[in-house]
Amino acid sequence: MTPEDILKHAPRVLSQAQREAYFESGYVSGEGLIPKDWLEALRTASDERIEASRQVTDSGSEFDLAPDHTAAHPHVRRIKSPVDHHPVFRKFAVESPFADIAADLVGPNVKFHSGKINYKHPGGGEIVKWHQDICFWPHTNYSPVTLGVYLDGCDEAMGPLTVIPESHKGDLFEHYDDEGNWTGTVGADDMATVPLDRATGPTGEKGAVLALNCRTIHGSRHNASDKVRPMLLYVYTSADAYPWTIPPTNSTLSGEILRGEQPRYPHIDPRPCPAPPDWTRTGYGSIFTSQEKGDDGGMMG
Amino acid sequence: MTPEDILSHDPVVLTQAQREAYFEDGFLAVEGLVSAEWLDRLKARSDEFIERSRQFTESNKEYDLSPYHTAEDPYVRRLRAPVDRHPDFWDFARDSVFTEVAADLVGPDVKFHSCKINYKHPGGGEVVKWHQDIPAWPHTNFSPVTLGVYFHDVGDDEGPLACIPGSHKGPLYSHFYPDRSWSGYLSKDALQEAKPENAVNLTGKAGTIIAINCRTVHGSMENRTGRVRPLLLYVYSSADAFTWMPSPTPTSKSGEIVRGRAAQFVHMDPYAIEVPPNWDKEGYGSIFASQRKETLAKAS
Repeated sequence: MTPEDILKHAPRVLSQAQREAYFESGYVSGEGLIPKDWLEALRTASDERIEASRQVTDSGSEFDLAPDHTAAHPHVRRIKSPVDHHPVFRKFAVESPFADIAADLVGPNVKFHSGKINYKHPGGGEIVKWHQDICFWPHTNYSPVTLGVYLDGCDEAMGPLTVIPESHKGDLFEHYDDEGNWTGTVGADDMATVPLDRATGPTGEKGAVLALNCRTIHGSRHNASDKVRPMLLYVYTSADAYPWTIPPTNSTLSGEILRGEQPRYPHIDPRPCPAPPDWTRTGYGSIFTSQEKGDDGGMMG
Repeated sequence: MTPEDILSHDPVVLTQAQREAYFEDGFLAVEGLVSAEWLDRLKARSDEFIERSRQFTESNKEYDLSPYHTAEDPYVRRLRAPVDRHPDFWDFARDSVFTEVAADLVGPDVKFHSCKINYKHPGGGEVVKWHQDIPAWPHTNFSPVTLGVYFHDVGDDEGPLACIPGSHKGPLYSHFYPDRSWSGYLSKDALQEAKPENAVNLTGKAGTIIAINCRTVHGSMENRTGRVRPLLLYVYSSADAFTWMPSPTPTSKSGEIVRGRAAQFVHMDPYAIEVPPNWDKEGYGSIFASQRKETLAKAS
């Protein structure tokens, strides 16, 4: 579906102005969209899984662990595919207003792609360099939207997710170095063509939502506060979008239609898209592992 | 890559006229390219697998067996994923004249997709109704080509693969029944439009290579001779073609670049294909099974 087609359908959760802003800028943020009961349930489930991580010593199918992770001091950088690790996470993806927000942005037929919860710890460990999501998991069109919710809120010091407005209307950049190695980040030469001065990182109270189009360049600075900043991120697409590589972070919910129905035809957008590595052969750790080479990618100014 | 891009690269084994004929007609048959040595190896491996099938009583991930299959009288309709059955079959896929023919038809960067050996037995058991390949395993473009090699001389009586010239430039037809279950073939009305009366039989001597574009309408009639007609079929695509649905016939080698290098950018042809069933979830038996509505057995 094109943005025009999507906007013709009546909004469910967002205002029409918020939807228009999303298509214009490549992102939109909003507060008060997620009911308190859901937020409490997510927070509790998150605490349960972090508690469970004390039993785990190495990164695996659920946890991406920092090197200094210990049973006494858990340092989980990411819960992978949370929908497979706690029923509340799954229910939230399927039944909550989150999927309705997705419908407002991808159209009435909504497919689930993937999910994660990122925990940005105090200190410099979890800088996320500038990147475009769709280059990690390309689809036949550019409907995919990442919906994020700050479980504890996020202020300026905590390294909010930061976007380059309108960058979704520009090119997709190759996330490789000159030798053809995957870096998971846009190179310095390409970033020099991007209006970095327009970068903005919406902050918000507990439950603040950020919707991010799959083409939009984004990243996040380190967490300069003394509190962990958890952010749940689920990717939804229009049901007429099909991934053409194996998703690097597959889950049992991936590909499920959560709203509406499966259309008979795909929507294929011929705009150029670089191909990622074949994750089934190279394996996929996390964005932290692929971005760990090199400097801070211009994230710290 | 577009046909023009592909043709701008020097040919490897085919003549330029043969390549042009493929893009014009949607298919090609060429004799004399597969060496006698390779042909003997392939036939020997194939015979071994038929022999091995005697121990099985029903279809499994290796074999599609006819309901008439017995230990005394093996009736294998298809050997699935031969590249996963014996290294010779994989060597043939990645390092033989087959790979070179693929490069001539999809461009210098060649990706392997899938493979099988079909055995057409005497009688009408393995008639393959008119169909296009790409609706069962859509890619982001229409570069995929199925290459086949006949193990012995195949004439009109053996039910050779038959193609409708130019049909690859026509519509993508629905391969569903009206109730939206997968049929795997063109409806009567669609077929009329495709003009099967123009179909050409791809006959040839042992070792003849046939090439069929993924959009070309093709099928095969009954085998009116007294011997089984094996046909080894491998699918290749340009490296810039990517599948966007689970493969009905996955192999451990699917997606491997067998020549040239991986694509930096996808080639996305916006011409839309009807979405096939999700084979991972619904299972895929074989074209014989789906065209006859046999109960589907998950192939993997």
